[in-house]
Amino acid sequence: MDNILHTIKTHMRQYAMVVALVSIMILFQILTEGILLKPLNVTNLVLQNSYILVLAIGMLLCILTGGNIDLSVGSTAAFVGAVSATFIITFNMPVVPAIAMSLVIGAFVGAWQGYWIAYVRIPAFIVTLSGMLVFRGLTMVILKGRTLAPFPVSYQKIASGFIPDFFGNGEGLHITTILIGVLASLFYLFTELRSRRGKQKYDFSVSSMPVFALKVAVLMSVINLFTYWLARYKGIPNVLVLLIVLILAYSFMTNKTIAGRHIYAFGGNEKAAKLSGVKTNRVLFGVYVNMSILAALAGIIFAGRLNAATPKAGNLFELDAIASCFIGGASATGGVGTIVGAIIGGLIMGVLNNGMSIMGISIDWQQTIKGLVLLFAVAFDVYTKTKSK
Amino acid sequence: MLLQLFGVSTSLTDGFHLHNINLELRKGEIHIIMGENGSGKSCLMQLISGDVPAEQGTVYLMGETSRFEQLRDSVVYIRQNANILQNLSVAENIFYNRMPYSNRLLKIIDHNKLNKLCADLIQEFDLPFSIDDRVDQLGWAQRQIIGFCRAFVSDAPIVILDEPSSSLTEHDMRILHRIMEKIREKKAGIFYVSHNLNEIREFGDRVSVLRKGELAGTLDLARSSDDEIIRLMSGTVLTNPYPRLRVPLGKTLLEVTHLQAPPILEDINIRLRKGEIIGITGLAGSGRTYLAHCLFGVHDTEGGYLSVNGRERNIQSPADAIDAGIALIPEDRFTDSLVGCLDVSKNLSLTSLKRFKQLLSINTTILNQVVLDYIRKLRIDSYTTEKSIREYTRGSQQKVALAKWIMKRSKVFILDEPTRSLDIPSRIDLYNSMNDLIRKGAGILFISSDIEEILGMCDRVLVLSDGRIVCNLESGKTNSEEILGYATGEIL
Repeated sequence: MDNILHTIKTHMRQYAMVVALVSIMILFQILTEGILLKPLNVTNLVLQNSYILVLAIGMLLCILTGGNIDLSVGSTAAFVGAVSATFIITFNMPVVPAIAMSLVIGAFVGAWQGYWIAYVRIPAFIVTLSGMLVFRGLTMVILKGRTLAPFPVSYQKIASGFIPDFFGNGEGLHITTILIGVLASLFYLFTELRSRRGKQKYDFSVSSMPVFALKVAVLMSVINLFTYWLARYKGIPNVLVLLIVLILAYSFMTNKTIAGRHIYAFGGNEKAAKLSGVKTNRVLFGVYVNMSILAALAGIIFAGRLNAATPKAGNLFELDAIASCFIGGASATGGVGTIVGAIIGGLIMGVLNNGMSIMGISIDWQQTIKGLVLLFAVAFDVYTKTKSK
Repeated sequence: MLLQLFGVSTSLTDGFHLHNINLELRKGEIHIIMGENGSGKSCLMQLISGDVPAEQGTVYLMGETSRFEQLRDSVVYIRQNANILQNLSVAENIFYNRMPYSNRLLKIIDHNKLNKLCADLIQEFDLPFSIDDRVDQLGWAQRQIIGFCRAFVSDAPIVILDEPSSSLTEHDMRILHRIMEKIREKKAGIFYVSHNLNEIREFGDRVSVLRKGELAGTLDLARSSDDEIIRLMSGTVLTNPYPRLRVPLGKTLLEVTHLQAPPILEDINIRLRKGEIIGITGLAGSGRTYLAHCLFGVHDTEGGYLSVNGRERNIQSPADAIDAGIALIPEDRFTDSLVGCLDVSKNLSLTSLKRFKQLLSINTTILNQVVLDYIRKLRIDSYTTEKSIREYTRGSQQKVALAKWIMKRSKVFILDEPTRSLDIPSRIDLYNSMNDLIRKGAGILFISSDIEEILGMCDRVLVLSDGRIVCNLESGKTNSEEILGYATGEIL
């Protein structure tokens, strides 16, 4: 029992976010009289928030480098959405090369901003504020103030399609989704066991068997329950596959690679990182290029979901992405924060949005409530931090 | 009697506590506070300056009962380098609390009067900076002196100097002595926190020793021996303060010829051999730290030749220097070497991550194993890898700052004031680590303002003065007077 308490205490902050997410979900499940967690709405939650979550991943890296934020992501997303629409709708280009080129253009946007931030050392806030205006302006120039639509079906599929069902008959449960859930949970079990064995081999402390078993069992059932729920509607959305790949890849990058360690070190203490051989300018540049590529991806997803490129696309995306990271426990001074945290923060925002919309709360009150949630989430974080000292 | 504490206790959350402290400060007294790192010296000083609340005990100020919160107005606490405001001028920093106003109501500052006051002060004490100097370009020692001046002009009855002498050269020490004499003449009392037994004998009246949060005793300095004080501090007897290991010198590791770094350094020549420790000393502002930074690629150099292990190197950045096998343990380790929010393992491995790379990822299991080995070997306090580096003592932080380069397997180590504010046991640990390094074939450039330490640990001594190396002495054939003579320019 002591052991369990100790584990909970040491991971208090991580668990606090999960607890907050779960309680908000329960709250809205009751307030919306059970609509929130209907299979259709769960799928909608994923689709609605996918682009914000993609942005939150990139934004977290920016924030890790010392509380820098990127204000231009909404404009960049709109800009790239407009560019891809021009390629595909105006010039009739095939979808795949058009998307690839759009992402490359996103990279150039990042290189442009990254150059000023990392090498000329203009504060990121100013450079991306400029980018916010520049790329919003360019979006309107490209679209001439109009909306471009519609996209071909294959383009829309990215944002609103579902993986095909290889086994089912098209009615009832989506069998492939359930199988994927089972496989994923078994894979999870396998990796957890392997890492535990690796730690034991080198005599590192591991949590006791019951704690470990409980944790694994809970997560395995969450995975299966989630896929079962999706299977009751149309199965796994394509964009969820993309999102999970991104989450896994970026978690791996931040935790397990040299680049990731360098980002954390840079954010924690730039001078020390530089004196330890970290090529600080390069790290900062890379982070902003990465951010803009993800913003481009978010722009493509959003255009696909809307089935149109509009001059107003991506408005205020940056603020949702930034809020997700801070609700998810990132530190405004840099060096602290995780990808999973940012995703959970994004989901909290998403459930709030969705739940309040179902309840029919007007947009002005939604904004007010979201603003207060952001403030209290960060205040709680600051409070637990000072208390632990 | 200026200040009396009776039975004062307090406990802070992070492990520091004070128990039943009885302490007094007389008018015009210089009262030394000693104790190992973590013994509660700083905590006691914070208590006296009213920054930390006391839970028990009474305090008398000038014979009248008082409260700790009220002491704040009567105490000036000069911490190490913490009170300096980087973006203000020297004069504004010194007179920060005593600004001359041309209009008191609107608080409009009379800059002419301020500059006059400051110029007088600089002349009176022969201070090593001018009114026009910007504080962010001054060295550590000069900033310390600004702090002393602030204490002097404040006219507060109680002055606390927290390890003021660390990284001060003897010349700067004389300035500090003069300032302290003037404070003493004003009938104010000084608490002087120190690790250095030699220096306190020159001016201290009494010494109070703290051990593990308790007052181990107060001694009259004139009537007590070093042994008595050390026994009070640690309970053990010190044998050899400088345990230097001599190994046969090998081939040349680092060679620097005609290195220029205008406008500060001129014609630097250094030849460091395997197994050798070269001491570099000089007055504050002589360019010691600047030299270290030039060798490590932080500052640009012009001309000159630098080779490591016989290979010429063009060092443009710290990354280049690290590739060449050079390591720098900077003067200010917390701001320049450690990443506060990361744990020990991540700090230690920051320089040597490439060693643990497998395909794309870092093998954390092996990495943590190696880190644990170093933690045990260097006796870094706790045998865990997951605590944030902030929670460690200074001694351990210094060990981590050194160990990250040992793990990198660097060959040339530049140590910039590595023993500053370390207690005696941590110093010995550090000296032993240096011995370990030279036994394994490394060479060390040892920058320090403590001449005794340089003489005790080094093979040769280079003295910097005004950005030039003015002499290259064998440490066995010289003494502190000669070195000081070169440093101050009395011997040319």
